[in-house]
Amino acid sequence: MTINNHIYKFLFFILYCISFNASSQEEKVWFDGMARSLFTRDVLVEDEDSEDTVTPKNVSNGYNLLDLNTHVNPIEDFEIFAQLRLRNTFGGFFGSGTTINVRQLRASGVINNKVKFNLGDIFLNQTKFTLHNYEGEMGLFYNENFNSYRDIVCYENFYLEDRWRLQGLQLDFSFEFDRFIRSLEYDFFITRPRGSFSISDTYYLSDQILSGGSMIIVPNNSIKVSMNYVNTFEIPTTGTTNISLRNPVYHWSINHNLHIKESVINQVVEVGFSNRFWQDGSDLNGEIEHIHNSEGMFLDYSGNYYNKDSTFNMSLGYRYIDPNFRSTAAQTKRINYNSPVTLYPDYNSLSSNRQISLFDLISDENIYNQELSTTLMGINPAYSNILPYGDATPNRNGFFLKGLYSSPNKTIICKLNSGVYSEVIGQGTDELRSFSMLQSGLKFNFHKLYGWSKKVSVSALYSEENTNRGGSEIESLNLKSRQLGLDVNLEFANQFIAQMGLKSFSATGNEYLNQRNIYGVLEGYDSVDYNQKDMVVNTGLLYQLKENVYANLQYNIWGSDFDSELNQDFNFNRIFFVLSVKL
Amino acid sequence: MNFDRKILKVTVCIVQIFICSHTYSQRQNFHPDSIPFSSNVTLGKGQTSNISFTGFYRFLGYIRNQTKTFPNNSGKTTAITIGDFYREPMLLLKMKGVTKDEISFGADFMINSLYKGVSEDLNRELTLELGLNLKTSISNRYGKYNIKTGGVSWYRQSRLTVWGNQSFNRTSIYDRRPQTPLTDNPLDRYTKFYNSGLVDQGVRYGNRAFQGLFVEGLKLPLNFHIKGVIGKSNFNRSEIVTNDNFTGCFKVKNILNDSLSISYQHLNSTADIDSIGLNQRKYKINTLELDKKWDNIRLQIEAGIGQYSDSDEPLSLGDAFIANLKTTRSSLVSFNVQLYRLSPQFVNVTGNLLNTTVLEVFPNIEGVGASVRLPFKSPMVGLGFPVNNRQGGALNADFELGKFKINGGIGLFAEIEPSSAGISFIHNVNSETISRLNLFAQNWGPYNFLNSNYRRVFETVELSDGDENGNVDYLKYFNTIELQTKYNLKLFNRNIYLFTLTQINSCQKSFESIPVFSDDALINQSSLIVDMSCELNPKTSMVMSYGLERVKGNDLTDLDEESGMPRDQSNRLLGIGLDYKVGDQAMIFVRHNFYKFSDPNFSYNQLQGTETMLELKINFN
Repeated sequence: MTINNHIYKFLFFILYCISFNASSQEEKVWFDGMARSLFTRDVLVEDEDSEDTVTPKNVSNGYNLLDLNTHVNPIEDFEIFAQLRLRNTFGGFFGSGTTINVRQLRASGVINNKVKFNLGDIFLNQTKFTLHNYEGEMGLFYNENFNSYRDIVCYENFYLEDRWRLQGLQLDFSFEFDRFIRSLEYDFFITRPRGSFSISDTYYLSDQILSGGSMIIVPNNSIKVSMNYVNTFEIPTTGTTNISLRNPVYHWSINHNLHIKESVINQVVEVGFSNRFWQDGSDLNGEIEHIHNSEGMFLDYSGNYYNKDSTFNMSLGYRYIDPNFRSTAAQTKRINYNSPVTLYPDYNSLSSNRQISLFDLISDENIYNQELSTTLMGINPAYSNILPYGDATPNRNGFFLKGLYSSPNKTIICKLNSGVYSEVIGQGTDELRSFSMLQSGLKFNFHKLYGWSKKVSVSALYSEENTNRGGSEIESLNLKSRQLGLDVNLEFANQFIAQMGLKSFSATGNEYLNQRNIYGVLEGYDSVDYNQKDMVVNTGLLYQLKENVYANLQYNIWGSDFDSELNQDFNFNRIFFVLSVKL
Repeated sequence: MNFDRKILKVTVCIVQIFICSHTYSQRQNFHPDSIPFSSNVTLGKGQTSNISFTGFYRFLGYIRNQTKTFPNNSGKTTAITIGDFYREPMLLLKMKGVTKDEISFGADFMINSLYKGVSEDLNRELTLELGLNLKTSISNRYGKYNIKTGGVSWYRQSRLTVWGNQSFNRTSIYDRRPQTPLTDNPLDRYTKFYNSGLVDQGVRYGNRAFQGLFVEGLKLPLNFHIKGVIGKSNFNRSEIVTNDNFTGCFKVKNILNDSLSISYQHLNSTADIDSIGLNQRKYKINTLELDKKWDNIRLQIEAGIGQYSDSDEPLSLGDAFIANLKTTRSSLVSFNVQLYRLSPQFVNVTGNLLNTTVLEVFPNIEGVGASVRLPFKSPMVGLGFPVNNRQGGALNADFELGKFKINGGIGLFAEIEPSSAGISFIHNVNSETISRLNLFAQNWGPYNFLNSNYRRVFETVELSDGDENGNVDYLKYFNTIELQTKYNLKLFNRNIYLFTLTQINSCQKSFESIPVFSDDALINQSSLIVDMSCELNPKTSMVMSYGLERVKGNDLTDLDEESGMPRDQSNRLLGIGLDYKVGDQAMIFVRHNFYKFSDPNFSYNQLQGTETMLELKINFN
């Protein structure tokens, strides 16, 4: 009901603003937002000899939604922002299936023309090792033709660039100087990723706080020195648990630019360390004990070369992450592999739980996570085993090479991301895992090459991950996963693009999954064998009015084959329609 | 302590920074335009959309005092409410926006409050009256295409496929609906009703609610027009929301010349009727329509075939034919002849017809369509409501004699095949009053005769000569006469309008040319409603209404267990009210009604009481 009150006030406020002064409305209140109509129909494809009389043969869903962003500028440099979501389920008539929610609320502005502040829903990013929303598997599995799905997943989960959506206060300000140093920049924030809530009548979890700050010194145009700090902690008195988290992370970096005509050589060194422990106040004497303490450092060097016209860049670097380096806000994954899938969570006469597959990673917005995890989240080594927690993945030591080439008229665009890593210490053995990864993409824009007015492009994506460990029969492991994607786009009429695509994924070999307790302490290993093939074929029609205004109709054929008695194969067909409009 | 110390350090650090800022403030330059590091996203003003709001506020205070109730009444005889129980907006806020890319979007906020106490639990949720819509247009050399998604949107394409029930504007305008628009002055509403003497009001009620994707193609090559929707209507629905249930339809029209057009219509409706989607209930319709105009005459003919099927054996192909011949220009006498034949196998619930052969296509799903149950067993309805398993015709005409205007019609209809041993009829008097006693309920009242749908109540009459399957072995014949008169006079330079509406319906076993009043009629329903509006001053009008309805059944219909006699119902309404303009776009309406529903042969069918309504309506644009 509190939210309803907010909505009432909000709406009356809009009315008030509108009726107050029509001439000043355009200046003081303005609107933008997003609207979407979506429809999906999924069909379970069964073998002819199958006698599944329990699982529905088809499922259809859809909705219309409008996110109305209201920006109110009561005075110069101040803004109150509210995002109101109206959602109407497809098939609900006359108010049935209608929801109205406040999705975001924020006040922001500049105090005395000096200090910029944001209060409410904010989107934060600091460094890759302190506060960073690593795209993880999302960076691997999206072909261009799945951008409609990607837009929905990112939008619904508030994935804005590499930022976490948090709620709290953020301030930043800077100074510029005449001598010695060019500028001094400060940034501070304090947020509450999780409020206190009850597990039972007498058991309340504590408030969780994420705070931090940055100081950046820019002596000249070539050098930038930054110091960053974040701390994720719990306030024990806001709950009834005696155990509360502390996870400070410290980070220093030096960034040097060398300008050579049309190019820049950039070098970045980042170092830091973390400490994570839980304060246990359950001792009757009142003493607080630190339990499950883990400390770790990291070192990252990258040398980057790029052309100022963005046609070429390359990065070569080295990274070392301690096995005990823990950074809550940098190691939380987007994907929660413990989430049930939305579509057909049960199949095979409702006797099998369907695990997250390639198509779910592409299309299911509900398996993605918006909350920070204080311990390492579960992974699926088949889909990502080398850097499952991004650049801050602990227990990694190795080199990486990244690059991009785009011909001046963008006829050819090539991307490369590769790395060779090994573990710092072995898990359950002295033997170390060694990793190699290669991700490459190639796109031909034939219309640019031949000067056609209609867009014709072919793009291919290939990625491979290899994990090996030697030793005895029990110690040894070998896991290979490969992915191939191919997209063809053909504009047959103005802004109408025919889409065809194929994506296949395979994983073979064996791995050990880590068993961790609630404090993230490694307690054991589960041996897992993989022999899986995922496939997605899509054809579609895209009407692209603008970059953020499009209608997309797709037909997807997808499924997974498991050469295993534990998992039953499944195949589905989907019709997907979305009309997405940026207001 | 460690934590407190850290907070202290950070605080000291911030203070030092501010001191530093103050100390060097004379030397340093602060450039808000430069982009220093910020952990938050950089905010900027993006593209903006034009948004406007229109709508109305409508307060309805309602008091009902029952002096006679049905025996199964709860014991509560007085109701004091805000609103009259139906889901209607108190504050309707219609938002309409247009993006810079010329894409329209709209939603209608519905904000209600019960005014029943200050507890938050009593505040109603903010919701939408209908839903969300997105709309855009694409123009190219092949035509203009309008694309709309969302809903609820109102759609129609032809009488046999998608078309809302059309009335002949023969109604009492004493009662006010939430949607009733405000006029400049109170009397204008009655003046307009007096002046608009057309037999057919056109599109007024002619649309159906749909959700989905709507496409319309205009100015296509070779004078083609297309329109279509794929989505859902609130009929033919599955029990499980995520199961397949879709209704799609389209129309292709070719305008051969200014006076002649032909079109093809298709409709397909399917709904899974089991949880896994093995069996479907579905019907398909294909029709052709011709529209020809002469100088003063317009002829519209639509004919087609349809087929219905479900888990049982599919019905055979059903044929349908509907024709309208009417005058197009106002003249001393204008007429409209309507002929139709709708076979029992022609099943459709989105067209301009009542379905009487397949009960299952009516949804009974909460929140979807429980409220749309319509008269099913051989409905005895007024003119302008075609019914399947029926054929017949109606002649409507209207003419003027000075300030005296008359319009009326006579219709004769017959069933094509013998049907169920039952007849249903809609009450013409006190229908809205009785429906408010038990909203959207089926088979209620002391004898379970009554069924409520939106602001109407209808009764189902059982016949005793049915076989073991509940069917009779004869055809039922229906006769209808409707007569409306309108008169305007001036008294002390003030306008007074008098309206009368007479409706007579009968159903019997044999063909008759006029309605039957004797016991040969299985059921006879006659009603008279007299409305008067009197201009007291330019801002005030007084209104009065008197309604009388008689319904009589013969011995083959339901008999009371005690009296052994059939229906002999009478319904009376006496109402008085005031319309007062309180300001520009703001009016107050007061209504006080005395109602009485009685039947000497069915002793429990006794209702009596009063209803008082105070309505304040304010429009804003």
